[in-house]
Amino acid sequence: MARVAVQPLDIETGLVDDHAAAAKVLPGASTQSGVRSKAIEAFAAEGLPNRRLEEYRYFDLRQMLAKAGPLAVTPTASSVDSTDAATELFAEIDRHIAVFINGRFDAAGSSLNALPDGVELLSYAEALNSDADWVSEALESSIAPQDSVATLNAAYAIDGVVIRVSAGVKVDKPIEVQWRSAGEVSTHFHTRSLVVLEEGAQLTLLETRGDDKRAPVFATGALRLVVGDLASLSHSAVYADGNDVVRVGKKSVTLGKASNYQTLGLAVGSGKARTDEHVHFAGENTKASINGLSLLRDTAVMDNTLFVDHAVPNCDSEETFRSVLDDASRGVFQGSILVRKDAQKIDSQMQARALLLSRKAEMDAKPMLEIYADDVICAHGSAIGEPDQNAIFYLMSRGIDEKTARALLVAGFLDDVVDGFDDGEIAVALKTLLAERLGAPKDTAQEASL
Amino acid sequence: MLEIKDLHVEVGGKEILKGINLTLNPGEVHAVMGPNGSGKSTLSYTLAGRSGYDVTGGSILFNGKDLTDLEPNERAAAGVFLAFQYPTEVPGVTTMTFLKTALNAVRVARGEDELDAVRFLKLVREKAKALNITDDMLKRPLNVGFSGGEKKRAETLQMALLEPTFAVLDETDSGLDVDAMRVVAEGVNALRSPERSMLVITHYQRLLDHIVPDHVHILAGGKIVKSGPKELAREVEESGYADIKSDAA
Repeated sequence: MARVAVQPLDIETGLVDDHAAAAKVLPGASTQSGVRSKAIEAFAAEGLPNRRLEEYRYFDLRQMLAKAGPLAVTPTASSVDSTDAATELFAEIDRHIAVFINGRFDAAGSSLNALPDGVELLSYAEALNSDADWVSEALESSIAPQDSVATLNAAYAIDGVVIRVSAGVKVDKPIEVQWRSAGEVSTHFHTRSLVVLEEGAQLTLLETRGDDKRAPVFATGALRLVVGDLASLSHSAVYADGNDVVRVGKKSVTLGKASNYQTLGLAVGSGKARTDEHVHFAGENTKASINGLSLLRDTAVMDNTLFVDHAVPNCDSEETFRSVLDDASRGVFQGSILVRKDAQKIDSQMQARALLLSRKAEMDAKPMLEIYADDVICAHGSAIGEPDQNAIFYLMSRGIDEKTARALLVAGFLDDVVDGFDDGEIAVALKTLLAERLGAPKDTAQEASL
Repeated sequence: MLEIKDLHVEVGGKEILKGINLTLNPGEVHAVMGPNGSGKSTLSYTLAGRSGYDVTGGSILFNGKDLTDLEPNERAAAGVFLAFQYPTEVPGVTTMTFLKTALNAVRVARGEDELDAVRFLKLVREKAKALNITDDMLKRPLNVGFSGGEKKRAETLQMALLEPTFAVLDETDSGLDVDAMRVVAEGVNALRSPERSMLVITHYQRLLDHIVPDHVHILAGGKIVKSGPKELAREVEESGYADIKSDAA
């Protein structure tokens, strides 16, 4: 898009001007400098995406960062002692943990000694120095779509996680990647991550994002997921940022034949976040379940932008997004499903629903289907409303006060999707978090460990 | 124990109940029968305190206290229970979680201690067994995907747990086949006691073969037009509501 002549923001000028100095300390400087200079040039020409771009119509980064001023580059990685809701979320689950602080890998804070054979995990900085074929192949794969967030990410990528699960390996415990920000200085940082599951591999990947920062953060993260033939990936991502955090995540997923991919994004923070996910079906008989839940208050924003590319026949996908919006929070859903000409026998169901708990809350939903095959079952739906008065009366008629009745209903609205995603300890952790945030009663079956 | 005096109720600005008088003594079961549109459901929702059902005149005294000032949950705590004609589906909330929350809310309001998960489970399983309700059903979201019979059995279980002193059964037979109706009626009959009174609202007489009332009232045009012993129900079944109405006129 040709840039309309507008005065660049301080933050945009800063991002461009600081790049040369920053590039010297970014990892893999000798091999990456060419790529990075090209990327920052592209960013300079475009600037931050704003509402003039259809894709960013409801998430105007330029406006959100207008007052951010210049941000410190290459923040020093420091350790964090405190815990927050996000890092404690999966505490009950036996798991491997990789910690990143302000985008950089924190080896000391991580717990990765027990990774089983057939699982390799390295930081992006390490990966750039690796000469393993799979690493260089994976690093070359592109992140879609190429917009100015992607170019900014490419120009500044400081670190990230790179994981490979070898063919046939079923990883016993989940791997959690904790993305944390800390410190008192305004910063921006950009991460780039890759997860490759070879044929028949299985992995549960957890991502948590939280901060104990007092200063503004602008972060982008690019995540490339390659799910091989017959492989299975479960991916949960939790956003629990503070209100000075603006985040854009780009997720590019390729699914091999007869693979299984299920993902749930959960936003409970008060920051502004967007995930931009592209899912490409590359092999037949593949199933994907893509879910997003937002429980927002204050001025929080969560934008779920999704593109599902059914390029091959005989695949199923389910896209379920639900938002509960209080105060002046805002939810966005832009979902698009493409069924290509020869992709027959596709079953794809996309649904976006929102409950508005306040008059100032807003939901923007834009589901789209683009279908070129003639033998498919595709549907989309969108509903925005208030909690069901009939159900509130029903619960109250059993002695439950109105506040608790509402909390139960709202928790149920979200739990319903969690139940479809997982029936084990991850679901327990997510539902407990939601109940706490809503002041809803705990799940009794879970309490009694039935 | 329950005294409805000259009760007038409007829904959406339209008067539906036009002066109902009804008194139930402890332990009595009264049936209210009436044709479609006579105000049967309005009466049950008004007793339970649904918003939008505006009492414009009269009173509902329950153990000497006027119910019309109370929220639905306060009425439940005081001992009022409405078994719904169409129990609402509540996705994502398991039946068990709902039951425990409701029971403990009512217990606390009545000055009793809360039950922990273990004591609650013991109690609910014992009561559920008698109604043929499995653990699996208790773990499912409340009323979601329940058959007609399952919904009404779940309503009866709620009544058994909350131990109301006054229960309104709104068209409990609707959507039930004969066998399912028998199970529900047995559950209800098991709850009959000298302290508990019930108002059975029904369109048809058949439910009253199973839950035998002490008194029968005919509701038509927002008023009780005739009252009598249980035999009145059979009379209605044979001659229809039309004759009764003309009687009153």
